[in-house]
Amino acid sequence: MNEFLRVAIQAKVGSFELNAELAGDKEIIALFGPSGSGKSSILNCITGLQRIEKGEIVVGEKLFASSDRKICLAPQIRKCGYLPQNPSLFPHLNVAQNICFAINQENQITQQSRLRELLSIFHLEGFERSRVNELSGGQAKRVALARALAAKPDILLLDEPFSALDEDLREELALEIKNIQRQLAIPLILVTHSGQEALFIADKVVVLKGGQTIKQGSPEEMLGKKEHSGKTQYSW
Amino acid sequence: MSDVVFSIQLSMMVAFVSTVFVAILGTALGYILARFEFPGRNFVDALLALPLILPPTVVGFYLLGFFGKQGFVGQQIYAITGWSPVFTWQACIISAIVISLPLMVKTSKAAFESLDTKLEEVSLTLGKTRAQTIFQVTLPLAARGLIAGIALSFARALGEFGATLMIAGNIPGKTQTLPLLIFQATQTGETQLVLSLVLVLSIFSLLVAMLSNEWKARW
Repeated sequence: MNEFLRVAIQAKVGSFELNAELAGDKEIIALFGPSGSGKSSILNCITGLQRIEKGEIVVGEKLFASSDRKICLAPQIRKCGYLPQNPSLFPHLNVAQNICFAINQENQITQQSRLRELLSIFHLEGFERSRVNELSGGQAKRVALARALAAKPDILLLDEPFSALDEDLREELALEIKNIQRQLAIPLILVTHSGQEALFIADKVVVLKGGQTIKQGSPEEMLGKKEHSGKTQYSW
Repeated sequence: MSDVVFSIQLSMMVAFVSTVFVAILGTALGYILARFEFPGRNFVDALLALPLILPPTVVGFYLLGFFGKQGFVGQQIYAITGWSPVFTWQACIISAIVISLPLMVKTSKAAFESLDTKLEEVSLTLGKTRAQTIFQVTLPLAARGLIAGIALSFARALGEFGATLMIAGNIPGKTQTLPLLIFQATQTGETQLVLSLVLVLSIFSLLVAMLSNEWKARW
């Protein structure tokens, strides 16, 4: 395997056992499976919020964790852009402060320039001083995405980025995410339990069940439009 | 009159100094108890709550046993410095700290427990260390609870009586705090003085409570 991203891990979260293996390049990988199949746990292991028991996680040249070599980088040095299922915006900070949180040790000029860039990408101009509890669900997701991208991460991890959004917003945000991933050329892993979402956005799909990776491949191979169109929660 | 001024000054000084210690120590202990699992956690939690449950005179007795010349810590202090904190103004601060600490620990622990830990996790993934996360996310979000704890601790320190009497005594011009002066004036039948002092203490405590509400609302 000489892919940019390699994840082969075993981890225990309470009584839940995770045994996952996935690999990919600078592409969009969808983790697909029912609730409780271990999708979010994989993201937590990659971010470093969950320790692995065995295996390794490699992103580009960086070894995030390796049980053999007894390496486990702290979350703050992994450079992961992470969007939790709930945007988890900092309620005591406004939109601009949330977006610049990861770079608030930089000088004001750098911060302002990055802020303007991200506000423009996510159509958030004019909301800089807004309190985060005044934002709609879609705007909050956009702010959280902008915040995750501010420090130019090496990998983007999105946990159900389209949940709780209406259909138009889901499609719009999916296109934005796809464009951003293409521009940045970094691996992007997103969690979904919707086959339609995975088919729409992903370059690769990893199917999980009961904490195990069952199979992985192209979205069409893994899901097949006809097979899954009737079972998904959303229509795009 | 000079005794009254001294008692007011001493009480204020004791309340301010002890509150600074209690705010720092209580916040740290509340955070540790709220965030970390360790053997004996329940025992430590209960031990820190004891001064809240025990009669202040019992706490004062323990403090005497601890800081007295023959006490566990007092012996060491006396051996090194030739000085004992018992029956000094420093003893007033020690008793105020011990008595008001549980209030700060309880309120700060509750404030930290009520926070969404996902916010702290997100902060870590955004490149912040655990210390930076505490100062930039945890403490600002817990601020309302911490302010309430500080106000309660200050008010409790200002009104501390039993433990102070045990370890610092009731020495006019030396260790006589406002509550101790009120006690003495009541014993000697100085009703006018008692009423004035009770009014001063009540108004000041009310102001502290109002100020704390104001700060919490602004945060």
